[in-house]
Amino acid sequence: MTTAIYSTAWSHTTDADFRAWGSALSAAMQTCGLLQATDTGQINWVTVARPVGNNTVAGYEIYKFTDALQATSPVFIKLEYGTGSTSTNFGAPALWLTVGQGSNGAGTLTGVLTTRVQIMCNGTGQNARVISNNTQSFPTFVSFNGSFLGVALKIGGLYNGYSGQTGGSTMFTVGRAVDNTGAYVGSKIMACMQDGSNPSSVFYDVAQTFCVNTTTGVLYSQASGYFSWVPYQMNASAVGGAQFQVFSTYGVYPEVSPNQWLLYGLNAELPLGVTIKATPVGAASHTYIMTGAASAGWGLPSNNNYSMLMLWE
Amino acid sequence: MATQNFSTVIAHATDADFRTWGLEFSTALQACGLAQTTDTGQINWTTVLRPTAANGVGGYEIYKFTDALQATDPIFIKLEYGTGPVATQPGVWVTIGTATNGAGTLSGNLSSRTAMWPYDRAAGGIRSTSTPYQSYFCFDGSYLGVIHKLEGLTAYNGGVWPNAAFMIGRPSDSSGNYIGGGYVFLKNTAAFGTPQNNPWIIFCMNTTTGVSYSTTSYFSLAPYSLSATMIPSGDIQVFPCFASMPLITPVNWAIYGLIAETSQGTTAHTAVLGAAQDYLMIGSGAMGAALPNNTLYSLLMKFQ
Repeated sequence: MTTAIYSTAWSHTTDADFRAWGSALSAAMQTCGLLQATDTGQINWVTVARPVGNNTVAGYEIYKFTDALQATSPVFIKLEYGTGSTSTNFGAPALWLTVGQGSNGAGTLTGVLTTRVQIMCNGTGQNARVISNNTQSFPTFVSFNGSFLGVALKIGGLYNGYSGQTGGSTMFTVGRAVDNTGAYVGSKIMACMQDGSNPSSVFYDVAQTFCVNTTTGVLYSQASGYFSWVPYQMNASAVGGAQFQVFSTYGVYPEVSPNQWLLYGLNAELPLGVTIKATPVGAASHTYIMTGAASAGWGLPSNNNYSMLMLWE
Repeated sequence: MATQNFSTVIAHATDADFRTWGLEFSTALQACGLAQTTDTGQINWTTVLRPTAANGVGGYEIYKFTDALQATDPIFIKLEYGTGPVATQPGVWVTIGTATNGAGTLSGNLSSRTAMWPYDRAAGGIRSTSTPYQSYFCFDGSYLGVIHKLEGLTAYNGGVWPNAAFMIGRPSDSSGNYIGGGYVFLKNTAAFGTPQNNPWIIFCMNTTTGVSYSTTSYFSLAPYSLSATMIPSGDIQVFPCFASMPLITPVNWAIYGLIAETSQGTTAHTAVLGAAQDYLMIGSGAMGAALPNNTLYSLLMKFQ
């Protein structure tokens, strides 16, 4: 169980820019203990060139979980790096995410696959998101505990020229389901991610979620925000004092069950980067970090008042 | 704890019609154990006249909860009976408070006086005066649930509605024990839009602070908008309804579920907080009450 935070400026206009932000993310995930697979053809951060075309991939990395369940219920993650739109400013970095249960050893995942989703910078026209500031540092949060991976990348690091807003950049979480005691279980995997394929000019979006039951081979997915909600649409602290309220996210396998590793909360109560203790499942409390603009509006209501808190321990 | 379950006709064209459905309503409440107070001026079902004008009130009754909490956290309910938006339509109004002056006026952390008929019922009305319609009443000392004349009324757009549908209850602690300090009022709203798809309003009163919280639809949600039975074993899935006091806590007497899994008028046995209880699927009487707001979902009310 480990976490990593780094805060740096970024850009995506040169090969060096691409290598800098990509290798930093890659290194942070590995620092947290995520295990890179031995697949051939993985990206070389020393030599890779920045793609110049719209929505173009330069290379990929294959990762896998490290818990005991990996032997019987493996989780493999394919992360592809590249360029989103060719919009100006300081470029449009892009990522694509796929989750499966195996790999062919050459970068192709196997098993019940989540849909390959571009999770950053696919918009064009008035919805295009770009890096607008190459000197300001933006924080990145990475968390991995063997059974859960969470990444909130360059929070607030994108800009939309049409709306004049800043936000993003992207976030993704992959984790196992838990039983009612909070213990991770095999055969049930959920991935929640920013859907960069349909961004808007405003910086709040519902998440794309996939739930895989590898026993039945059935994949459940939705992109309506209906995996978490805040009752009463509270938009400010209602309980007063130092108290706050956070709300569960749910997987469907098809039994609907709460996640251990992702919560929905109010930005007015919990500022970006603050950590809290909560007990969504079982008796043991866990630590969560507020990801702010990285996941604004992922659940319901879908607006900037709400963001996700991911497991942080 | 008692329930009433009956199917009878309804009309509202004469004094006798008014007395028939009103007395039936009143009798069902009391048969479930709800206690009528000794307030003066309460309706006399033998002599009361049907109001001939729209929105006219014929009289009222004052009721109170009967649990041990009533001594320290009293809840009083004022029910007014009369004529609805047009002369041949029944009318029921509900007001909740924490005290009465003994002459029919409630006080203390009041809810607004709320008509139970759907907004656009004026263009529809009683569907048939010869067809019996189902009613369900439940009271357990701390919670009252009423579905009166399910599908007995219609609206201009073809939707069918109950004559009255509401629940009033105390919040619960994490063990499912009722607690004082407030009440929760869950009710049908003005109906408009598509037939049979009508969000409900929940009104939560914290009687300690005097602050109320309410929302439309956002008191329960079925994750993933499940549209049909998905559990191969035949198990059902139901989802809690939440009160805001302002702490968000599940109520123990209402849940949200798929009509495809629990058909209208049948009961499901499940545990929301503490021990499992029986819940009755309201079906068409509460379609789309929460989220998703569509005809696949309805409320189930505690029914034991």
